[in-house]
Amino acid sequence: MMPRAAVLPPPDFLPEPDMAEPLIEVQNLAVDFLSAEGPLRAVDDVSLSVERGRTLGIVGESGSGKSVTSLALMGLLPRRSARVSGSVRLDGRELLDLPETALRDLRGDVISMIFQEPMTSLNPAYRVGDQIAEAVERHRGGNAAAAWTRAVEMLRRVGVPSPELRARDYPHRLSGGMRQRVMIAMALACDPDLLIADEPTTALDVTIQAQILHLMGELQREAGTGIILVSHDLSVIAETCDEVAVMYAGQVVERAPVAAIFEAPEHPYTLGLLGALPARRARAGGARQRLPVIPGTVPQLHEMPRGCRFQGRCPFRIARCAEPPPMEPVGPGRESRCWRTPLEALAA
Amino acid sequence: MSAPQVIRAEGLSKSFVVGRDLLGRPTRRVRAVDDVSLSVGARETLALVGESGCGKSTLGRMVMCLIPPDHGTVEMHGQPVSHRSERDLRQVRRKAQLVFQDPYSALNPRMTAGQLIGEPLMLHDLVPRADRAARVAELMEAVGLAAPQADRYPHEFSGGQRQRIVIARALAAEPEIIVCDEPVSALDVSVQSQILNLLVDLQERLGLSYLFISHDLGVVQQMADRVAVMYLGRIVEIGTAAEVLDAPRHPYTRALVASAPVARPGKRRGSPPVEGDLPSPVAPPPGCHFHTRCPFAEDICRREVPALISGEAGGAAAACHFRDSLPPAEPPRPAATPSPALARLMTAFHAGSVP
Repeated sequence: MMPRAAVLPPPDFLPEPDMAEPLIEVQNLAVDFLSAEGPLRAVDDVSLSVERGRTLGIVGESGSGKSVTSLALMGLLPRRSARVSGSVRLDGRELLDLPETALRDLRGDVISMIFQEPMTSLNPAYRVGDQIAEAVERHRGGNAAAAWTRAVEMLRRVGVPSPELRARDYPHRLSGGMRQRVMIAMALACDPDLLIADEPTTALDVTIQAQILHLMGELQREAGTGIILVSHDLSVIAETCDEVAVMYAGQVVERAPVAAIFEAPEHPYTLGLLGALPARRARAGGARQRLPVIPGTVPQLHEMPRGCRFQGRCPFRIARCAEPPPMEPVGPGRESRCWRTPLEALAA
Repeated sequence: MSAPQVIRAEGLSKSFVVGRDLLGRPTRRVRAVDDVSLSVGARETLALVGESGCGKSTLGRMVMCLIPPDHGTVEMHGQPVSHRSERDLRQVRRKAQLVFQDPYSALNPRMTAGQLIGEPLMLHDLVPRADRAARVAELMEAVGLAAPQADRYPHEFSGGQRQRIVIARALAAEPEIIVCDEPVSALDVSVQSQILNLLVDLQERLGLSYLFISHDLGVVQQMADRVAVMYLGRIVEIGTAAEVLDAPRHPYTRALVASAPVARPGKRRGSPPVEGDLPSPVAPPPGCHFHTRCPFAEDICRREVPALISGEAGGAAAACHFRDSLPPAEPPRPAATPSPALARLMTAFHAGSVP
């Protein structure tokens, strides 16, 4: 069993990002789904890394490949119909080569995942306390009583009121926010090094969303967990992440520290998304302003253009965009997949 | 407010039976909507915001006479329309159309886009049979679809295009008011802005009124002239969009505004704006429903239901006993303002110009 630091210093005291050994390092990840018409590439050339105690946001629209990416990291894609290639190294260990049995030892222990809809992830026929205790027993051993105690303790830690009673409830007795707290308690019960949260608050109301995001931040500061937060919501990303990867049509098109993404985006797609956000903007003389739009829609998997995948919707396109642009450094700690960087030069 | 309102609802209440005894007699009821009044003027957008279970969708359906209210009345242009016969209601329903959240389940998969949009023309006998195809083409163009797409089935369209079909279908009935129930919640950001712009364009061109139901304050800010905030079946605050969203009075509105994430990079500090869960709507707390989560609650809040009235200083009406004595709300966190260079770049992008 790998030694695990129970208490890590708060992220402020961690070494600088470029010095730290990344907790997880993903290189050139690709996912092909086998279909009757041949393989369809849903995720292409995705490289990411997350350090301990930090949060990477993956933002993208439906069909951008963000959820497939997170499932591939967990080894949760069906081996029969999905081919995963590239490299996923967790603490220096290659995950893509591991057999299913070894992955099962990691999942729920070293890596955990929270999904969007807690009701479909919880077993309706078991009490929530038993479901958390099961994970603890599976990975930590010990007796059932100790695992139950740990389950109750976890429920208390995630802010479930009267946890001894709630642990005996079945999932349908709990509200959406409480169920998501149970999911978080389960995911964190074995002190994972990495937590992958796929749209963890999308199904929740805003006041509850604020509570859950606050809770995730608190638990991260206590335990130094690395988090990958998958979301379509740029505002949630802005308030919770250290780094951001923007995905479009199966590729990461831009990767940068969170402030840089919002202050000086280096990919036209990111720029368009930021402009299209409905926001509390000033109204000129009572007239309702039109929202800026990104024209067109995301290309389908089977009709992906050969060059830049955003070229069909991009006002900055040039002849060269017919060739696929590589992911290239565009500043300290940031990369972009665009021939026209630096974009700032275009507005001069 | 002397101009006749397109829709005026007075004292609407609705409860649903959620539990019955052995003999089928109701034992438990949930008050989905509790004594709510509102009105929507011509060319006006009234946004209805609140969290799940607050009764906003039930209210929207009562306003359209899709659900009969237990108490209260609905007037259209000053004419009472609730409690009428089915035949009369058909006219009312033509004038008030509904756009649903999920364009995937709102369209019959076995009908083509053209048939779907043409159906209201036939049902209400608005256009002679010979002219229907031309009218369908016109409607499709109005919502940004190409007329030749009329022969396609819903599954051949993207989510945004399907929502355009739903809107064209609503327009076909020549309504005066459209109840939009979370019309863009299922759409991606880049498509969402296209649909919101379409709704604004149609409003200006056709003089439509909207009752716009949404949980997304960014979208509401973009669309609303006035905003009503609901909590557990009651309106707790109503006023102009600027009053309600920029200087909220009711503690619940404050919590809602403060909870909404903002596109401004930087981690939030401090505790979340409101603790605790929504109480069960089957047994809502007495007095002010919000007192269980309210940081300002006192004894009176547990006993008496506060009236929905404006404070001494005027402005939005708030259902709070302490509407005049609460400390001023913290101003909402503004979204990041783009630097001049970024603003120029955004303008170039959205203008579609190629630098």
